[in-house]
Amino acid sequence: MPRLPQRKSFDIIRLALHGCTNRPFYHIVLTKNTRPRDAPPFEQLGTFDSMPNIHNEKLVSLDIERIKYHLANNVALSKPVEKLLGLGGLLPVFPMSYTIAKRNRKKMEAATNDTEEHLQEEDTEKSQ
Amino acid sequence: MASSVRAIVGLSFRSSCLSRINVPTVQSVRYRKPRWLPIAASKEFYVRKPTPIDPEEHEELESRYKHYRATVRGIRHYLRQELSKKTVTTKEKQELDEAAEFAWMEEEVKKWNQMLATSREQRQSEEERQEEERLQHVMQQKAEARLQRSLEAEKILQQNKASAVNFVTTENLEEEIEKMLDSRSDYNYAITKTGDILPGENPAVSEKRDQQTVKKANT
Amino acid sequence: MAASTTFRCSSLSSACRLLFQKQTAGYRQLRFLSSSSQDNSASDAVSAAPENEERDPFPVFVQPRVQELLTRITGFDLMKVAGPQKKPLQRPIYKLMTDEQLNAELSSAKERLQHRLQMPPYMKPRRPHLTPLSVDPELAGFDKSNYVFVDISFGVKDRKRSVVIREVDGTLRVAPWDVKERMNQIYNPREGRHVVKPSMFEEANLERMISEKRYQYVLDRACCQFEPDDPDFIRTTHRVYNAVDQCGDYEHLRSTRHFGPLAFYLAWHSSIDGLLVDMLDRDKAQDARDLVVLFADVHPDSSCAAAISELPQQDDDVAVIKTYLATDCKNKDKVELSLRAMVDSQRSKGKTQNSSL
Repeated sequence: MPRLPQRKSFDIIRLALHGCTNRPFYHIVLTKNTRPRDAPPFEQLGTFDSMPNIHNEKLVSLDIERIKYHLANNVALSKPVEKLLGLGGLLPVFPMSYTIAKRNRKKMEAATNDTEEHLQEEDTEKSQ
Repeated sequence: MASSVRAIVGLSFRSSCLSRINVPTVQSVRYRKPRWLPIAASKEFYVRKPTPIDPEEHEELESRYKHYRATVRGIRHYLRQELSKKTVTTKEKQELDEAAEFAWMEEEVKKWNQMLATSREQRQSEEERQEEERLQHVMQQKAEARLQRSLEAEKILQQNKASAVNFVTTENLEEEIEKMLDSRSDYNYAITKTGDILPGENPAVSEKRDQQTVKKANT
Repeated sequence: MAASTTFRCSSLSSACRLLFQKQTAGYRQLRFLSSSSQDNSASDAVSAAPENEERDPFPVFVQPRVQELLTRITGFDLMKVAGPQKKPLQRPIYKLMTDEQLNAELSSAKERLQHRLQMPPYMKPRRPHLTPLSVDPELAGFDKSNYVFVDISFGVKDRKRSVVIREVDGTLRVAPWDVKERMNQIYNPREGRHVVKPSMFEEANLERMISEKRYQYVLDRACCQFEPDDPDFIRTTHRVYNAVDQCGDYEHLRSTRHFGPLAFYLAWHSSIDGLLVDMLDRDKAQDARDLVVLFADVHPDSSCAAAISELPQQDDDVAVIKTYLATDCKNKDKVELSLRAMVDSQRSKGKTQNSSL
């Protein structure tokens, strides 16, 4: 049986999925990149509840002191974590967040334009 | 792959036939290709369409990424400096603390030693005193014993001196011998109830014996 | 080689700019990054300052002299502090004790009960944070819901915890107080506090509770539910204090932890006449004097304070009250009447005692 090539191993802060069915909930954890996603981590650094609550908020809790310590020690960050830290103001905003925001805005604009056109058409029909 | 799928289906079919005895024997087995198997025949010439990239977006993203990475590196650098500052201070503080603790410990040890020394001196002087007392006592006892012994010896000496008057010496040896010989007595007798001595009927025997002894002594 | 170094330098400088100098929009990245102890000052800087600065009652409230006066006024009625309570049934414990042991036990119990009379601080309502930490219109629409970030670092106290919110339009701001309270309750729950504000504190329900005269219950619950500088807390407590003052139900709150704040509230708003009359009617001359002194302490600029400081003998209860009557009293007739009644009753008491002696 051919062996898989060895991957480079380093510490990383990333999300571990700890929800139930149809109810995602993430832990922000420090682990080795080669370990399974939900394996027992070295350290838990926070949580992320990706389902908005009744106040339309997504809750993120961060152990800032520890995260700063690990950042100083050159620990890698996964993209979602970078995104969260960027939104939280701990790091600069992640570039992809801007892009996604732009795309969303474009979509929204298109949708509003569509509805406006529809409305206008309806108006013209009515007037006719 | 197709064959293996068929096999699984067949298996499941057969097992479903067997499932007259209400036992759930059907188990869904999702087939996964092991890594060492070649690409499936249907996908042999499949090429994934690359995700379309908006050139405008891409350009913006690239410049943003560049800036982002530089910033993050700067932040990390800053944090590292902060951390090192903190650790340095903690290290210095630790050293200071250790020095202080060592000084304190020294002080304590000195105090302890002082205390021990005083108590030891006290104890030793006491012990010396006791030893001296003991020695004196012993000496006294010994002197007493010596005195006692000398007294006893003197007593014995006096006794001996007193008894020495009756000693037999070379001068009075003959005399004594004569005296002894003269004071010979015959015990071969009986005593009556009243204490009268009844001399033997045959004194010759004793006399003979006496004579023999005298002869021996003379020879 | 040279190129790479220059690149690094440029990147570093940009990073530093972001960390230190930034930024016209008031992007307080470092504020959030660096210790949360700075958060208070930060929030002060960000929060809105009203035009006419009101006097802050808190420093006055925590003055040792004021505290002493308030605790003295509160009184210590054992039956009220440690009276019958709803508790699961327990077997009573009987002990045979000497008088000495009994006294020691009683004094220790008293000490324990003193703790229950700790007063909730009297503060002015906190100001909302208005200035955002960062405005980023480019980020608008990044998601359909707001993101709330809570610092859960080890050992951070609830009041010092930094909570920020990234809104859908891309602005990053210090979370509003209600959100912060909610987050505190979610991540560091406290017993007796609810995440959702109990409907008891809504105006209509509160009115009903007050009409039923369940003052202590409402105040206890408010203490449990709100922070002392929460506008809701202040609204509720002030509503109850007002009701107590109007109905003259001061006895309900005497020997509870709420009596001190009540007295302070009345003194702060210069309406101690009702309480004064109540005290005089109950023959509590010492308390009445303390109340007047408290009033003078709270309003050091008033004529009453000046008059009292000029009094030759300040220990004379009646004299102090009379100076108040002469200066700042609004309801002179009533107070004077009760004062006279009290003095008379004291005199007659003294007479009867003398005659009995």
